[in-house]
Amino acid sequence: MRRHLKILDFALASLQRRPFKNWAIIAVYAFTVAVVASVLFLTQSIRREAAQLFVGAPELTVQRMVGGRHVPIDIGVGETIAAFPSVVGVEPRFWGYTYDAVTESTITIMGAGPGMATIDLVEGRLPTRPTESAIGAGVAAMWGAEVGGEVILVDAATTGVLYEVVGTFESPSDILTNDLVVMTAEEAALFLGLPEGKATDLAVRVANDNEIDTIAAKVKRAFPDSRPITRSEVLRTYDAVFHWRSGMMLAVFSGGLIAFVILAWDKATGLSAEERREIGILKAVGWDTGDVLELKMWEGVVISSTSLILGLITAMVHVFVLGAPLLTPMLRGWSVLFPELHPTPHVDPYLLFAIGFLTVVPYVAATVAPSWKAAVTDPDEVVRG
Amino acid sequence: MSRARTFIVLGTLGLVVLGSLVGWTRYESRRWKRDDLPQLRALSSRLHLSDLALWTEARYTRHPSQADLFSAFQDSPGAPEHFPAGSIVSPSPVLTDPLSIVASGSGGRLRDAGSDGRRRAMPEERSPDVVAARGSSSGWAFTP
Amino acid sequence: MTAAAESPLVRVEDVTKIYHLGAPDEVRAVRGISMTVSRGEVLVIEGPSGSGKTSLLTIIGCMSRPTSGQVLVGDRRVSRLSETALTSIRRETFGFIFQHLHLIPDLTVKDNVMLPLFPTRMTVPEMEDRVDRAIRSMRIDHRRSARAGRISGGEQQRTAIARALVNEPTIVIADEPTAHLDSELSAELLDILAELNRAGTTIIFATHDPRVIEHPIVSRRLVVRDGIIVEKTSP
Repeated sequence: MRRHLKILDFALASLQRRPFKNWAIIAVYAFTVAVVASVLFLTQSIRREAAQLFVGAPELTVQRMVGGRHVPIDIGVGETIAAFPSVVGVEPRFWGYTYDAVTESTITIMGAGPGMATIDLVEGRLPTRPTESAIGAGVAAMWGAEVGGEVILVDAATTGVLYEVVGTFESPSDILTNDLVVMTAEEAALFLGLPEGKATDLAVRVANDNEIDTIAAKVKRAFPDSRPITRSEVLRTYDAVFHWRSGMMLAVFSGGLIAFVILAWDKATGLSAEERREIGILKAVGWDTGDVLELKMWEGVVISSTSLILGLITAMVHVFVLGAPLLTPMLRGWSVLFPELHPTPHVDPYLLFAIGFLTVVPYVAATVAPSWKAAVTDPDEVVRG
Repeated sequence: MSRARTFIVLGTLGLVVLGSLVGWTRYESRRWKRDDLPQLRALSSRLHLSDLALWTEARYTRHPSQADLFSAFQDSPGAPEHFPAGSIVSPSPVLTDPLSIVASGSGGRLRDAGSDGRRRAMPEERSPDVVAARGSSSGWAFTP
Repeated sequence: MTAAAESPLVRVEDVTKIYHLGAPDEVRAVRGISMTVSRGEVLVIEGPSGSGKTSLLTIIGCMSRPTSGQVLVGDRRVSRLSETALTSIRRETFGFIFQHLHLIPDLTVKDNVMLPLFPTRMTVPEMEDRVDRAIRSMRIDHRRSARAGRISGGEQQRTAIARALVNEPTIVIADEPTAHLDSELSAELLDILAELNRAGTTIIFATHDPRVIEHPIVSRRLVVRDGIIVEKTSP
């Protein structure tokens, strides 16, 4: 133990000789770790939020497909579905989009069906009359509207319509409600230009989770032009979409990653004549091969573990304390109404170990391996060299 | 040896900071589950929300779980989609020009204000210079 | 120092050393040398460059293994030992002063002197103590925190000697120690080594510098040419 500590001590002395170079490596390395970890933390956190949230989503959504596209569905279909065993209820959903050309943003219009008008996370209440609306934080910020104010939207007949704002969604719900304008169901249907007797799709409540797939199959049989979407498909979609998104972000950074790998490779493998000589000196004064390799291992461990710890701390602060400001531009893509992210802090220990393993092991290996040849040669060759 | 000790102390300190951050995330995560999640679930259940309001540029990004399986560029004229074609083909100006959208609505298809309880905002209610600039682009590539 | 009757510290028996064995550039550096090193003597191995004296020196000092033949340090047969065992014998028995000093220029004098002690089981206070003594005996205390590359040639020389002494070796091996020194520094070095020898340390030089060969402390001379001993003298 004492011997290992002493070799670690020497490794530190050895690294201290080139403080600028080694700190620069640590900085770049820590930055790389921070970027990769930020992406992983953020997407993992959002994915987990989605998985937890949509447990409250309808068990089944039934859409109608024509020509490969989603078209309004007859509300009457809902009555048939409601008669299926284990179906608790069917509610037509009236939702869609409107493009606000002034702010160049797409807004989601959502019809609120019958039910409680006051609900948690809504400051004020949900609309109960056709002239009222509740709006998400992003919409509110864009128009500077608040409860008691008004918003103008252009409806399906390209008519500007005024709505009184009776409620705004509170911040913890941003990730669900940021771009919403909620109206009464009837008004939403009218606004979106849905034909009489049609809804955007049908939300189906199923009592028994095990029955969802059976019901979906029945719906598909009864209405061949329908597309039933189960809740587990929704969850799966989110799993997949973030894999892809984080892949995108990592792809953007892959240039940086590759540059770093080259740097590490060059630094670690390019054993300079000077380093070779040093190893020879160590061997000549009584270090054996194992000692020299241990020294190199410590050098690698010191650099990579310092970078790892700094990088992980930076990533956590960046994502969970600051709300990932550096990743948002990349994540938001073309989105105009992108919510302010306050991802729920969540870190999977497995992920931490994976990052740690992928950070420390290759670097240490890249440091130790090239020293091997110099370390096993007899010291006399170095001395006489 | 003092160097090794300093390193070990600092390293341990780093690990402690990291550990307490992890602990904090666990605490926050539990708090979110306890305090926010039931409300969020209730909200998503009440409004039948099925998707995250992250990307508003197109249906397949705003409602990934609800969208047609492979049609991109479905809803947002303002947003070049994610497929490579989006960098080459931009949406028609008629779709993106705020004025042409409002302008096309003023063509005599207005319903009578108040008859159905809706309050209409006439295009003329917007600022005068906006109105004056209207109609400058036809939006068609070929016109007679 | 009459050590003839005592068992020798190092015994070399019919040793050969061939580099690049079997290759076209094969070099037969040592071609069958037998000799002994006795406690307390000052032995000079003399010969022009390329005569094989450095090879012989590295074999005596357990830095390399002979191609054939036997080397015994005390009563241990070195040629059969593992690398680790060989290294520990080298560390415990020998101190080396190299022709090019081989200090690590960016490290402090203290760290340079401490080098041989890092991979030992010695406690830190013990280590510090040894280094202190070695540094003090070489009168370079005032330079202990200076980088080895930034001190004068004489101080570097003393640092290298301090490093050779820090493990309190029975035998100090010096390979061409005066090759790059002016007469003043050479004389100083030889004085230091003479003092060491008076304290009981055995010293082996490899050199062709007359200033060393003719120094009064030298107790025995071996002349090596083309890998064999051609002359033995005991003045």
